[in-house]
Amino acid sequence: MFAICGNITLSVNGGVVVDNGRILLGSRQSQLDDLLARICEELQLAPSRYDQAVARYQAVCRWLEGEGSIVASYEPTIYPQGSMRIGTTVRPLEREEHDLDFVCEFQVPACQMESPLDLLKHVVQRLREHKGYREQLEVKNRCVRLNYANEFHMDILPACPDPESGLDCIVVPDRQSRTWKPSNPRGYASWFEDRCAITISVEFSQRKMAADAEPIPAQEASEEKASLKHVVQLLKRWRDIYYQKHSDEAPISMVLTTLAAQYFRGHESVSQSMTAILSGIEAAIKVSAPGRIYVFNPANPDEDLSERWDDPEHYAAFVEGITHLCSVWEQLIASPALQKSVDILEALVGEPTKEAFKKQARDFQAARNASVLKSVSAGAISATVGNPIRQNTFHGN
Amino acid sequence: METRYYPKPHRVTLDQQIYRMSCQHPGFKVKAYLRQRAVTWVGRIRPTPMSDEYTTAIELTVGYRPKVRILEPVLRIRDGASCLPHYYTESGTLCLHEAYEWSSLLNVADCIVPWASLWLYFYEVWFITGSWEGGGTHPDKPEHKAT
Repeated sequence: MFAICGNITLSVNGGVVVDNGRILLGSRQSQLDDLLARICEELQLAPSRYDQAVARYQAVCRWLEGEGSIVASYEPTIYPQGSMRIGTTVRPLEREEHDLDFVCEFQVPACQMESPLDLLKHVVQRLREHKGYREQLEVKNRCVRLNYANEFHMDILPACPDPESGLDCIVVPDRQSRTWKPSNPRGYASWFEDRCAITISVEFSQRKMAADAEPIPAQEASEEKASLKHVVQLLKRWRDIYYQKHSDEAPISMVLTTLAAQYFRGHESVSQSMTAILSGIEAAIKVSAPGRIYVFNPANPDEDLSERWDDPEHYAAFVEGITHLCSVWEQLIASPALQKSVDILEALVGEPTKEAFKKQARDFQAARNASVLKSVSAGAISATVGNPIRQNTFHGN
Repeated sequence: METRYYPKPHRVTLDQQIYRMSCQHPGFKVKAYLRQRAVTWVGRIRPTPMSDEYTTAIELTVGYRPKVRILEPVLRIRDGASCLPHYYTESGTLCLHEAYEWSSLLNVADCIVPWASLWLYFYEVWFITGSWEGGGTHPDKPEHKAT
C-alpha cells in the first residue's frame, strides 16, 4: 500500500507525485497499482479477524494438548497452511466467513498409528468433549471443521510427520480411501515465498537508475514482494465471480496460486505482474494444445494439482475463463476512459472497487488538508518543483 | 531611526494573470480578452492519470470571482442524486472556494487551475462511489456527504 508522506504534486494533465520519490499517482500504472493494492486489502482477512483467528486456533491447540486429552501424548502443534500461511486470503463472495486451513501435526510417525482414521477419530473425540466445539464441529473427508458463525470456518487437518519423504512432509488421513495422503504445506509455502522474492534484473537496474534520481525508501522491498500475492488474490476473486454460476468448473485456489507463482517474473508493479502472468498462462495453454496444461505441486512433483482437468469440460471452462480474463485485462491496461476502467474492475473483483477509489480519495484529501499538495505545469510531473496549492473550501449550493 | 516601508500589495493585473497562465499552464489558451476588463482561457485538465480529460473554461472579470465551467465532457449527475455537489446549477460553474479564499491579489494559474483539478478529481470519485471526499461547506447535503 502506498502511504502518503511528504509533498504531493498535482498536475493539470494528470499525475500526482510525492516528493520523496514514492509515487502515489505519478502514472496511470502506479495509480492502477495503488487501486489494486487497496482492492486486495479489502479482499483479505482484516487484521483484527486475523488476530481473532490466531487466538481461536491457539485455544484449540491448548484444548487438544490439555490434561486428560487422548491426543496430548502426541504433542500436537497447529500451524496455518494455504492462503492463511502465504498471505493470499480472499473473502468469499456471498458470505462473511473466510475459510482458514490449519494443520494439526502430531509428533508421532504415521507408521506407529494403527489406522489413518484413528488420528481423525481421536481429534474428533477430544473436540467433542468440549461443550463449545461439540456444537461447531463438522467432520469432513480429510479434516475437522469448526464453524465460527459470522467469523470463519476453521479446517483442522490432523497430520503425522513423514520424515522419510522429506523435511516438512506430512501424511494426512483420508476417510474415503481409508489411507494416508501425502502433503507438504510448509514446503509449498516456502516455495511460494521464494517465488515472491524474485526480481527481474532489468527491472532492478532501472530501479537503481531511478534511485539515483530520487531516493527510494527501504520499505519498497516488502512492497515488491507483495505483488505476486496481490495477483493471486485478484485471480482468486476473479475466479469466484467468473465461475459463480458454475462453481464446479472453477479452478482450485492452489492451481491458480501455483500458476501465478510459476509465471511471475519479479515485477514490482501489481498490474505488470498480472500482465506477465496472464500472458505466461495463455502461452502455456497454446503450447499444450490440443492437450491440457499440467500443474504439479512444487513441493511434491508427483502430485498433479490439476487432475480435474483430465475432464475436457473442466479444462475447456478454464481456458475460456482465462481467455476472457486476458482480453478484459488488456482493455484495462490500454488506458480506457475512467468509467470503462471502473466497469472492468467491478466485473473482475466486484464491490471492493468503489471502496478502493474512496480510500484513494481519502488519502488524497488528507494530503490536501495537510497542505502538502503542489501544482505543476501541464504534463511535467516532477517530485521537487511545483507551487504549493493554497487551501480552498468547496463551497456553495 | 530608520523608517520601515511596507509596500501595499497590488492586485494582479489581467496582463500579469495572462502571462502567469502562459508560463504555468501553456495548454490553456486565451479565448477572449476585453482589455483590462475580462479574460477567458480554455484548456484541458486531467486531474489524475486514470481520470478523463476535461475541457475547462476559466473566466476572469476584474472585480469578480473567477468562473470555471466544464465544457466537455458534460458533467453528469449520478443515479439517485438530484444535482452535482459543490456546483452552481444556475450559472453552470464550479464552487471552488469560499468568498474570503479568493482575492484579486491571487493568481488564477496558482489557485483556480489546481482547485478546478481537485474538484474534478473529487467529482469523479463522487460519480463512481456516491461519496464526496473533498470536504467543503454544507456537508449535510446528501450530495456532499462522504460515506
